[in-house]
Amino acid sequence: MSTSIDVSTVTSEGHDGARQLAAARTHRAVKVYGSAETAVRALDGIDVVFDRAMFTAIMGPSGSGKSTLMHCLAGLDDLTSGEVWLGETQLGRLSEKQLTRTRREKLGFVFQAFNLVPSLTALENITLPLDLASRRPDKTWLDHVIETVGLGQRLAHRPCELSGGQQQRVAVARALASRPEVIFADEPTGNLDTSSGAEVLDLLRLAVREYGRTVVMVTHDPVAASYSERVVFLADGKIVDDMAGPTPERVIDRMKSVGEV
Amino acid sequence: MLRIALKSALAHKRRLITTGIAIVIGVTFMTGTLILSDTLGTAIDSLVSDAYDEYDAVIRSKEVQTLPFGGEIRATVPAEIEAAVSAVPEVKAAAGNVEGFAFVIGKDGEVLGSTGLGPPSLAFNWIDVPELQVGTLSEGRPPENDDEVVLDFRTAEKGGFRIGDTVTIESPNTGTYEFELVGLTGLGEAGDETTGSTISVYTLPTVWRVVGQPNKFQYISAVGTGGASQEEVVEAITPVLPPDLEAITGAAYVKEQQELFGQFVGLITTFILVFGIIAVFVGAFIIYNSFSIIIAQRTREMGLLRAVGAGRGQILGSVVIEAVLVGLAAGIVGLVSGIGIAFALKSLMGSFFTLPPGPPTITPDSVLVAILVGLLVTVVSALIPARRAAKITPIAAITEVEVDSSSLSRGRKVFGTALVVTGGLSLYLGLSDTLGNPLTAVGIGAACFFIAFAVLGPVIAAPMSRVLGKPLPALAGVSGRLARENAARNPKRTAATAAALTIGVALISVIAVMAASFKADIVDSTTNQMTADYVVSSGGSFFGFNPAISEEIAGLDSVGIASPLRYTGAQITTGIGMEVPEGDTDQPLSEQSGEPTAVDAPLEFLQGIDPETYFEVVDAGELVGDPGSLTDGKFALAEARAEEEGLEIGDKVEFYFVEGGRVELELALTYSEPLDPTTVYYLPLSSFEKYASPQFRNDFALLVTSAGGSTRAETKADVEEVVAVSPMAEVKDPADWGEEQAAMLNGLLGVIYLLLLLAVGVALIGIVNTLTLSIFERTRELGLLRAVGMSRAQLRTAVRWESVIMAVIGTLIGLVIGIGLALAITTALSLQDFLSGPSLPVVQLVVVSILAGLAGVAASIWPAGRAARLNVLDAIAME
Amino acid sequence: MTAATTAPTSIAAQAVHATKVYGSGDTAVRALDDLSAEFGTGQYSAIMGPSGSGKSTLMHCMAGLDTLTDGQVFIGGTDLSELSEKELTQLRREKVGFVFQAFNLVPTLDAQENITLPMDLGGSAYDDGWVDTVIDTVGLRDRLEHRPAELSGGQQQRVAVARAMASRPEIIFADEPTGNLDSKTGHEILDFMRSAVDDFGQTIVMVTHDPMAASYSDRVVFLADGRIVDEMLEPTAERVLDKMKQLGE
Repeated sequence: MSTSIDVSTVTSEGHDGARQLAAARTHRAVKVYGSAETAVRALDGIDVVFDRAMFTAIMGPSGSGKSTLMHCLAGLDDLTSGEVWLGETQLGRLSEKQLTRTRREKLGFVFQAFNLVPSLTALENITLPLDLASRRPDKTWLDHVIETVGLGQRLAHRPCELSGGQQQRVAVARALASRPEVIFADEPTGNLDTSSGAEVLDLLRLAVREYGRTVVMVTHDPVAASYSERVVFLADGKIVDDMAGPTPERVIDRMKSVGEV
Repeated sequence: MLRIALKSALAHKRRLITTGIAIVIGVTFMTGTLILSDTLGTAIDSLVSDAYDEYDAVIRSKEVQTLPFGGEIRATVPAEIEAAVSAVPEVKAAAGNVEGFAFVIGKDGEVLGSTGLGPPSLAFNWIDVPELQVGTLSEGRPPENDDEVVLDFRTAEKGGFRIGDTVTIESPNTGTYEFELVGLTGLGEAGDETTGSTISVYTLPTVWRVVGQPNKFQYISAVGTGGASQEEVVEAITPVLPPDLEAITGAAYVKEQQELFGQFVGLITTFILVFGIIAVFVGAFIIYNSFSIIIAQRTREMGLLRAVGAGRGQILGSVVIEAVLVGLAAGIVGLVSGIGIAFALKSLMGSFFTLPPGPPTITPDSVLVAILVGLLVTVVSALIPARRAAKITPIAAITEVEVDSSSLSRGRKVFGTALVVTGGLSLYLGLSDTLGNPLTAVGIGAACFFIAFAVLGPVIAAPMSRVLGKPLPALAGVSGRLARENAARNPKRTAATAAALTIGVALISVIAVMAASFKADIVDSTTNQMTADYVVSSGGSFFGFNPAISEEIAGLDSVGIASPLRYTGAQITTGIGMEVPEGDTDQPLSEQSGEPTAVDAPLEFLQGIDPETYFEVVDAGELVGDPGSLTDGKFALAEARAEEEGLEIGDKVEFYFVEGGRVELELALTYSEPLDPTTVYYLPLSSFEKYASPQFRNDFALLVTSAGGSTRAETKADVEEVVAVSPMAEVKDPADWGEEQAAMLNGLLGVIYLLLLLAVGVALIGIVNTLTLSIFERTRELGLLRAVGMSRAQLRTAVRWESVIMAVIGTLIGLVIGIGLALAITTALSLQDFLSGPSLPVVQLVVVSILAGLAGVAASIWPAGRAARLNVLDAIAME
Repeated sequence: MTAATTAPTSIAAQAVHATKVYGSGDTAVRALDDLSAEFGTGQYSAIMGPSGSGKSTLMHCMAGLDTLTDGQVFIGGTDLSELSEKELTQLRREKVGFVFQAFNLVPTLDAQENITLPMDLGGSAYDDGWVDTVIDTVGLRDRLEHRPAELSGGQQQRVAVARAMASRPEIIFADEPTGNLDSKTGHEILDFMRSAVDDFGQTIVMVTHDPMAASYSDRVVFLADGRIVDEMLEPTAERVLDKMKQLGE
């Protein structure tokens, strides 16, 4: 069953019903790669709003544009046309320097792979955004984060000495340490086994529930999606569904029908 | 960010080390040279000052000419002046000094010491006044009789002479003598130090006889009475001197001599320094290349840093920091090895002349230069790649962004073409002789071409790779095709790698062509222009032989013609004013007082000929005027030069001879084919007696023809018999003599080639480095090929051919630039009559090309091995 | 769990008690845990499982790209552990075809050259007729001179499939071949692979996490934690999804 939703409003109803500024949103976002024969319309006019302090998942089959959407939301890539807003800031209007500052201070990233700088230790990777900004980390907060992700014993290790799951946890710790407004996660459990994956997802959910962060996660895994509070479904560069309170079964069912488009 | 850069650098230690090697080599050379020249300079300075430290005043002629490679000739001082100087009250004692040339012949009949480039063989008179003695007697006693000689201890040692032995001495001016060795001398307090020169000391009358300048001194030295300062002594002496002589303080003289020696040392060290600079320059290319590749490889990591919030400046900074680390390390290592080389060279040189014991002089300057050069060159070369790194976008962390931006901008092509056109114009102007100094125009043209090449290199690299690689698919199948495409796919990188090699090859080509041209000239003139049967010469020495030998040969029955050749130098001063000290008018120089004279005109070489016989044994082309009229007071000139100067038969030209003063000579003859294109003025031998300095009063060569009734063999035998009296003189065929003259260049060439090969070696290191790094970069692709079934051997083959293509490109371009440049320079020189034209040493150039190809193969061995050893799974699993 | 019930005429590839352990001590991972499986000739098999289930490892080991810690792998009747490096290379050239998820082609060669690459490497003459058929099957006749950079993702994958088929290997391994493609193109590729099996008797083993892709196969083997946990014949996308749901808990 697909439902069409009007998502062109600037604000949205949060948990408690109060109107609040969206953490991130797009307006008529279009992204085209390549040119002429090899042109690919990755985003085909997307309007979507992501609420604050919510854990939202973006799903869709391969080639649906979900990763592209996230990249543009996070300012990693520019739109061909349309707008992207992070809070009250329109990303397209920022200078390179401002964009860099935004990344340092307001955003956190967890990628599917290659999250860490190979020559730095786990601890140095965690404090990386802060070091780049020449900000001193809040020791209490940092210790808390490290304890939460359970990496106390591994701080001096380099990425090559950590398992995949541990590396992802370091990445999450990094994303938490600088206390950003929005954390973008791109298939964070894609390379992990079930139990490590569950750990990472727990952490992300914790970030939302206990620390009030906003998490936007791209995934193709129904189980991972079930950790979120809302799933936005994409196919061929357009939004085709928006589900609140997802469970693995509901997601799978929905995916079945989306896959047949 | 600093920490990130540091850790990053440490993580990639090995890669960065090989990157820095070229700089290390360059810095080593530069440092070694600087340290060496400091050391030598100090040593020589102290030797010189020791020798002359007790001089209070030196009296000498003001007339002086400087020779092309440093050194000077001065007019002589009449002997009578000594008495006048001694009579001055402030002068305690004065002594005349003779300094002429005489060679010591070893027991085997060969000359001890150098006859050309190198420390000279000098003849002095023994001076009784202790303060004015230059050396110290270390053994035996001073010469007292006409048949006694004192030698420097080094030469005696080399020749195995002991007190009491008979020593054979040959003077270019006056012939061969035998003396009894009565003493040994040397510099320093104990007489055991030397500058490497061969010294022989005689009584005054003897040395006048041997050197052939009776009653003349090179200078007079004086020591003052107790209370007088050197300035006071000089002031007291000056009034008694004729206007063409001057007195200077001992201190000033010491300084002058130190500078003169220093010039010579400076020449050597500059020479070596140049190669250090070349190595560093090549190193710059390698650094640029290596950092480019390293950055391309770390695209993902840098994308990640950007995503996490690093600014562009921070990324740029981190690369610069890495470059600083490499540069600093290279500078320090270069410094250390430069010191090592200086030590080695010092002990090597110590066997030639005395150096103070202990370590070489390491000044803060040399240390600073080493580190600064290493640092600056590395950082500057890494700047462009650093900027590229800063442009990496965060998205690179996630996707495989092809950083390979092989698009070549229009701007590049336009700029490069403009440079080529400018260079071409400049060269044309220079070569068409429309400008006063063609060499400058040629120089500018050359510089334009070099830069144009650097700019256009990438543009031609791709097509060149394809063309050169055409036979590869047939030769090596898929491996061959891959090699060709890989060289072509990143033209900037291929060009940068090849560039390093190009520089070395271009330089070698230039030197080879120029040397061949000079040699060809010599050989050509001796084989084609000389019709003499034999040439008598002093066997490759810069000096000639006793003219008495020529006279005797001329008198032989079996000899038809014996025509001597001599050389001297003079400046053309027609219409040129001398530096006139204030207060004086346009009086002839020799009557002026005050500052020493300096004439601002180039030194010309003059050939002395016997007009009656010369043109019978040398084909000088078309003659205008009568050879018989070439008497004293006249001169002959090459037609081409006469036209240039606007001279006609009967015109008068003023010459300035140091010894003979300013003389007006009349042009009596022109000829069209000079024997040596650099020597176009001919003087009759009779003029030599009047005008030439003592060291030119010998015969450089004697051209001999057989008499009508004798066979050549007979003539040769007779001539040889006469020549036998001189250990140095020999009889040769004109062709052999030409070869001998040409061969004098070989020693110099050998050293140049050696040093250039070093530059080429450095370039090859660059190729190895580039290839290795690019293999890392292409790991995934290589993994794919292995997965799909490429064998290790096939992979190695592909890498090998890629290396060969790059090496060949570098060599070909180097050859084109080098040969082109050399052709331009030789043509420019020929316009200035230094050379008759270019000559291509084809064999040598072909050898260079082949070696380059082989070098390409050699450079690929290590990288190919690396490629083959890649673990297939790791490679394709690389995300 | 082992053998399929639909009897293939022979076994194209086989793993017998395959075990693969990475690392040691703390970070030791048991990627394959005493796994035995058979893949029949002329069959299109899919291997599925969550990340870390060992599906990629199984494929790498069966293809000769990686070695087992214990157990054996056979291609045709050949035990891979007995082969030298040279022989393994030859095997990859002649008997095994690969289609990866991405980066399948050599960037400096054009489509034609990429297709004939394994055979050119072997220096062997190839059947022009067959190569033409393959090219036409994947529909690349007008793109032969283009380099990968000039081809779309789907076209690149088609070239990869053509290459895998051109040398007529005993078995083709495909690792998430449609992972980077949009749905339409993905279907095209899967169609080609299906027809390779149906029309030309090719054997294909495909690793995937996409139920839609799995539905093209004849048989799906489900892995988890280095072991086979289930198997399905005649899969459909729904049944596969359901099974995944089931296994996920």
